[in-house]
This record gives sequence, C-alpha cells and structure tokens, in this order.
Amino acid sequence: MKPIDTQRLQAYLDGELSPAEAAAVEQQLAQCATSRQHLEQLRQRADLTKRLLKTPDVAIPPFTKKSVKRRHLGYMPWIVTLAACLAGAVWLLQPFKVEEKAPSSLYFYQEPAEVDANRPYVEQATNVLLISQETH
Amino acid sequence: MSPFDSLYNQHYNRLRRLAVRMVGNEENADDIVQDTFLVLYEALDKGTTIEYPGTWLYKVTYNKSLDCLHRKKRLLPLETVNRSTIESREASSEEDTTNLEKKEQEALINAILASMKPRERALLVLYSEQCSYKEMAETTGLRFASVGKTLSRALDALEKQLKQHGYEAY
Repeated sequence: MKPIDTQRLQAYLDGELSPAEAAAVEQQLAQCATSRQHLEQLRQRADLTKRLLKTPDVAIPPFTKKSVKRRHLGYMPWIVTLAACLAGAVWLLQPFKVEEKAPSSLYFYQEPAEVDANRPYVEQATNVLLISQETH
Repeated sequence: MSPFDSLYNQHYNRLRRLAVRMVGNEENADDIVQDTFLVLYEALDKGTTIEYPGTWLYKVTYNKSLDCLHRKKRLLPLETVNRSTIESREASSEEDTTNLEKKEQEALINAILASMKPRERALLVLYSEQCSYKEMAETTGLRFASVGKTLSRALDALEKQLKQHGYEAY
C-alpha cells in the first residue's frame, strides 16, 4: 500500500481535513505502518517547533497613544524633516516675492469706432489702447 | 474595561511573539505592537466593525513587521550558531549553563528563521500559536489552498536546519 503523503498527513494532524477526508486517512493509517510511523514523526516535529518558537510572555506595558505618535517621528529620516522645513520656509516667503518682469514689447491698437460720414476724419472718435504682447 | 483595553490585554503577547520572530529584535517588535494597537484604537474610534479582531491584529502586525524589515533591511543575525561551540563553553554553575543554552538556542532559532522567507517565518510562528490554516491565509495573504504546502515546506526546512545543529525531533 502506498504511504500517505506528508502534506495530507500534516493537514490531518492539524485538524484541517473534512470529516470524510479524515475518516479516509484513518482508514489508510489502520492499514499502513509506514504512514503511522510518519504521522508520529510529524507529531514530534510539531511539538518541537511549538516549544522552540514560543517566546515567553512579558509584562504588558500600558498603551500610550501619545508616545506611539511621537515614536513615529523616529522612523522619519532626518533628510525628510529637513526637506519639509525648507519647503515650509519657501512657502512662507512666497507673499513677499515681487513681480519685476516688464512687458517685452508694447504697441498701440486702434479699436474700430463708429464712422460718421458727415464729420471730418480728424474729428472721428478712436479708442487707442496701450497693450503688451503677453496679453495679446 | 473598554473593548480596546480588553483586546489589548488579550492579544498583546501573541502579537509580540509574532513581531519578535518576524524582525528578530525585541525593541522593534515592541514598537510594531504599539503601532498595531494604535491602528486598532483609531479604527474603533471611527466606529469600524472588526469581525475577527485576533486575525485582524495579526494581519496588521505582519504587515508592519514587513515594513520594518523593508526599512531596516536586515535585523536578524545571519551567521548560524554552531551547537558544538556552544556546548564547549564553560559555565560557572548549572543555572548559568541553562541560561546560556537558552540564549544560544534563541540565537539559533533567530538565525534559522532569518534564512527563511518572511511569509514562511510567519507561518511557522502562527503554527506554533495554534492558528488554523484559514487564519494563516488571512494574516499572510496566502491563498488558503497553498497554506498546507507552504507550511509543510517551512517545517521541513526548519527540521533540516535544527538537525544540523543537534536538535532531533525524533
């Protein structure tokens, strides 16, 4: 009879098989000495693992919300803090920045006005605007 | 006692055991556990309903441990401890011998765990805490169907390394 594979035996040992699957494994175990021996080895291995990996309990410290939040800053590299300070300083100085840029060129623009054919040309109303190139 | 205090007292040591084994350093583990409970505190404060607080807390601790490992790169000692050199050391009394052996045993376990993938490490700790495969899957983000196989592989690797250092399960 073919022995039961390790993963299936492990799942049986850990109580992870359905009742039907567990019953099938038990039936096989009853007929296979190799599988029974293997199961016992897995049981001992599990006991050793649980014993070695378990760390002792410690006295539970009080939970302090503030101390945890303060500790978060400890994780932040100093360079990030410095960058944040610089960014803040630049932002604070922003309102004092003076716009010194002059328009690159100026020209006149004559708006079309209504023409009165009964009056001399020099008396015709015209709207002349001084505008910069940027606004055009 | 508030629901938060009750969960804090009930789960503190379980989470600390996972964090200690994950990052191999008690100081960082304590920070991870405090951070985990801060997340819980804020979640409860917002009125979030947590169906399975035990698994939820494990998951947060696991993720924070991964973050910590990522930040600090390597916290666990990578050199393996030779059992024969441990036994050859002289101790002044029987009590000292026991303490020394315990310390060396801890160093050996940490070294073995450090050689494994974080997910396998977590599975072994959760296994030693009697967690079900479902809890292991939810904590580590592994598919439920893969837990048995991954756990078996991790147990095999642990057994092999323990044998090399003189620890026989049978």
